[in-house]
Amino acid sequence: MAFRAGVPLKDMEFVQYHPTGLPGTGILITEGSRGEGGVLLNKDGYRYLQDYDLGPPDPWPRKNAMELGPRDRLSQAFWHEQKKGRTIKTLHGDVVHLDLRALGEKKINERLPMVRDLAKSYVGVDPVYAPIPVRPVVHYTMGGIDSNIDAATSIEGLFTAGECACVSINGANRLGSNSLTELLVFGARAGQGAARIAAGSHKTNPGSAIQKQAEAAEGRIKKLFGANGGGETVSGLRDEMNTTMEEGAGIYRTDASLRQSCEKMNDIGKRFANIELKDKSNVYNTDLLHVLELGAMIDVARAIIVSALQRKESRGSHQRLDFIKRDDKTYLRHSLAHYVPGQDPDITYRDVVITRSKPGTRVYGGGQK
Amino acid sequence: MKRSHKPIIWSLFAAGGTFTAFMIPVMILITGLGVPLGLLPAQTLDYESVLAFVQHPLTRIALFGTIFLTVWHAAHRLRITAHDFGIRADRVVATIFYGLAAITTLVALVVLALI
Amino acid sequence: MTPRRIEFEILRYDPDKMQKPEFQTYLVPCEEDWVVLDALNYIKDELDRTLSYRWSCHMAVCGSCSMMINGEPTLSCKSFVRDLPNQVCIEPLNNFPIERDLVVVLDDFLGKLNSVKPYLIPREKKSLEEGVYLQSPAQLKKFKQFTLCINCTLCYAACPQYAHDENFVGPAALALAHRYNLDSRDVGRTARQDVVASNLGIWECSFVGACSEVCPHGVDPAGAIQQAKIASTGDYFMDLILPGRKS
Repeated sequence: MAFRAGVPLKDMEFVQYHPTGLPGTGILITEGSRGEGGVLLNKDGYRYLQDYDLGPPDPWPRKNAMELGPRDRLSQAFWHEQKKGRTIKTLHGDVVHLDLRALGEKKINERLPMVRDLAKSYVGVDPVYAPIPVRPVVHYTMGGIDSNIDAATSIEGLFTAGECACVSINGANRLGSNSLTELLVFGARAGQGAARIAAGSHKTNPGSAIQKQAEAAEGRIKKLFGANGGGETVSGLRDEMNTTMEEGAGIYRTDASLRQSCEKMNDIGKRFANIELKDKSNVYNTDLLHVLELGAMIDVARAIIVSALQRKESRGSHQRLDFIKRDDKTYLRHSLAHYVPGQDPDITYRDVVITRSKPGTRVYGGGQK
Repeated sequence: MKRSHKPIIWSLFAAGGTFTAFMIPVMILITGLGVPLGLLPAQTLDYESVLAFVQHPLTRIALFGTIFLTVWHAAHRLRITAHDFGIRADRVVATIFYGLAAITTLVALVVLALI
Repeated sequence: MTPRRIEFEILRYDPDKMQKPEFQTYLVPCEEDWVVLDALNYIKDELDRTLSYRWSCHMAVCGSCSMMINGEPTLSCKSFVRDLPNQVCIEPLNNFPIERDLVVVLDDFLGKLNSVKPYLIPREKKSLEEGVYLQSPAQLKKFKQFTLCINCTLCYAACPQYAHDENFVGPAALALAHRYNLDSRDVGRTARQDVVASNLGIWECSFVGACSEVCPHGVDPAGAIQQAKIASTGDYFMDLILPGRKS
């Protein structure tokens, strides 16, 4: 909504894959399971993260552990293992093993009861006795609606907070638990800001410009109720979108893969015009909800792809196989995607504001010594 | 909404329940096992022995407490059970059961004072 | 593994178009590891886009997907088809008015939650500069179990008292009040007692225990309510003996 109203989407190319999700459902197995001592193994039972500059495979208890490395690096390691054929094949795709057996039943029940329950229920594995099959899953968007330290946007009176916003607190890769903290801080600021504006404004009159905008929006929805026989389905287009996003704009991207996805999304965007609403009820119509959401997802997907295409470097969760290095000279900037109806968005840039912390080299594990 | 006065009934119910939970096994032990199996002398349950026991001032008080707590627990329990079985005339049910408990309490008071 | 064909009989209702709710049957090829929610999504994607139902997390932490599955209040994302027969009956949650299909109106529940003042009422309000409220692990352990509630309202569907009287404050709301009453940082028990200790609060509960049986997260609202009865009784007599005391 904000995007279409003219607020740019910032840093959309930065999408976080969480390294440990269950195959099939994508249900998240918390980072805490690695924090308590879980290790990641490939099909040979080997702690493969040591091959990716994440530090020595110290036995438990340990500091600076490999498995506690940042999410983007761990997901990238999986991608490489998969290319080398060292991942395990299952009905729901390739996985690696998250092994909690060394913790013992008592500790698992005490610290990770939900993990045990999820693994037993959804993949039939008891982590006390067997390793859990896991794989990287899309988890969080660092990018979002361009907002500032007061949770305000470029439109006066429009505030935003949480995952949909981009202040940016999380840069190119979010750390665990910061999403919740960000929500509390900026949720409060957004509320306070909105209250201040509301207290100082007056009620709108019928027939005013705002009323006309509302009627136009209502008209767009009413049009959906009248549409007939397009032949496109929500689930059909959505599945195609999922596939092309995963293939073209996944953990590793190339110019070719992104361009291919860009074309595919343009095609899906055109076909979306032929979508037909099957549920014409006025009461809790979730078919309407899905159609509206799909339209929005298509616009957001295009912002992600185009932002990724134009950032010709690798930084955090945005990794390019054709531009492997980080390029601070050209790209120490935020990308801003501007909505253009029916077309790919325009991208502009804004310099990153550096105050106290200077950009450095990312070194993890034992290498820091 | 206001604070309810249920705690009066409920404390008797809870106390009665706790109390009977201890009392009943002891009673069963004495009357059902001890005397019939000869672990306790047969005279324990003779009229004379029991009467002498009851007439002791401490016993009168203890026995009153036992009967009082037990009947109020039972009354509340039966009221709720009636509700659980679908009898919704709660006012009538409560009056009957609490009424019976009140009458029993009074009778016990009089008998234990005069015995 | 070939999918097992399960027949789902689902209660439909659209107040726009129907006089009363009616069952509709769908035949769904279910994979071995599916939950009922997966079957519902299949129905919506492939068979009937007009079916309305709530869901979100698909991992039993958000509480959105509550419904009656073969007569039991259940989360559809945690109801595995491997545990179900070849015919499954799905209805909207008991004891709530139907809004549309499997979506019920939860306004009453939300009002009940609000009514128990579900927030910290500290002895003295601290400003940010004064620092945080301290709490030890032992103090946290006292009420942690009652923080696990995900507001799924399965307990309200199971409770015969709520079915009998919709004014009953109900298991989840009372367990939530208890959570705050037990919190060492909170002194709000007196502030909450007009609702909690009323005839429609804890004293309406006859300890059937069905709520704790259906709770997906082991909150044990029945236990919370009985504990609250003890605390409330204590308050009641202490207030008689020492009127005007602070709790």
